[in-house]
Amino acid sequence: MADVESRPATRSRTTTAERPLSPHLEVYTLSLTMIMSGLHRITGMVLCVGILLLVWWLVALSGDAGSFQTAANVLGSWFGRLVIFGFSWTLFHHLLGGVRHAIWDTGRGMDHPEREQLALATIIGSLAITALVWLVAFMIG
Amino acid sequence: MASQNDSSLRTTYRRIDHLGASRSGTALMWGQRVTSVALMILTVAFVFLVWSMVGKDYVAVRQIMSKPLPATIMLAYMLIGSYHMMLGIRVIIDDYVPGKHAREWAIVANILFCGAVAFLSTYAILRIGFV
Repeated sequence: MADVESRPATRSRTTTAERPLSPHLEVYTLSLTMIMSGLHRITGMVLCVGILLLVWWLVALSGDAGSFQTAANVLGSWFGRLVIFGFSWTLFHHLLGGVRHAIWDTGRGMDHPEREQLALATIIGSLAITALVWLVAFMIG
Repeated sequence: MASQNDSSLRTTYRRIDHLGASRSGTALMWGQRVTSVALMILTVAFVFLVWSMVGKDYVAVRQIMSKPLPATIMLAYMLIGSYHMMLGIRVIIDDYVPGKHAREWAIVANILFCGAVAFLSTYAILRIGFV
């Protein structure tokens, strides 16, 4: 409380003192691991929207052939496939992000360069799995 | 730590239960981890399930989805998924929604949204299996 008394007399009692703030995000140079941290949250939020398509598909399937066909036509169109393609990459990115977090939970992979390698593995892995899943899907259908 | 506790207003029990000021433990964090492991396994099963239905018509898809294993996989996927979703959104709300009241309403909305996803998909999956 001694600090309050030693402040300049010109400062009003109601103004907020300009105390130093702890370093926040903007003082750091953007790094790959920071982007990946944000992407894990963003992909998680995107999947909350993506699951609604799955719920819609399930409800449509629980109805008659007409309701299923409506959903199948929309989801099977080129635009529907593009949206599902996006959601599938989002899912695999979030899944591999979860694997990365599981590795970190054991206390491993947090040092340089392991954390950057894990970040790269998540990006490349998620793209590879997405490509593989869609390649097999096109071969079947 | 001992010197810190000398001036603490906490009771001895509150000090040793290690739950701090929030009065809850790591249950939500642990739940996130356990559900994520389940969802990793279920996602692999889900991919195979989707592959088995690609390009099939209503009767064929309905037949696959009414079998015990596919129905159970989907039920587990949607229920565990919606719980995992609720925990994840909760972390984001806690981090970014300012103000006690706004945060509490956001948490209520989160529970209702994830609950709707869980109940709606449960109804659909059971209807596919039994009707």
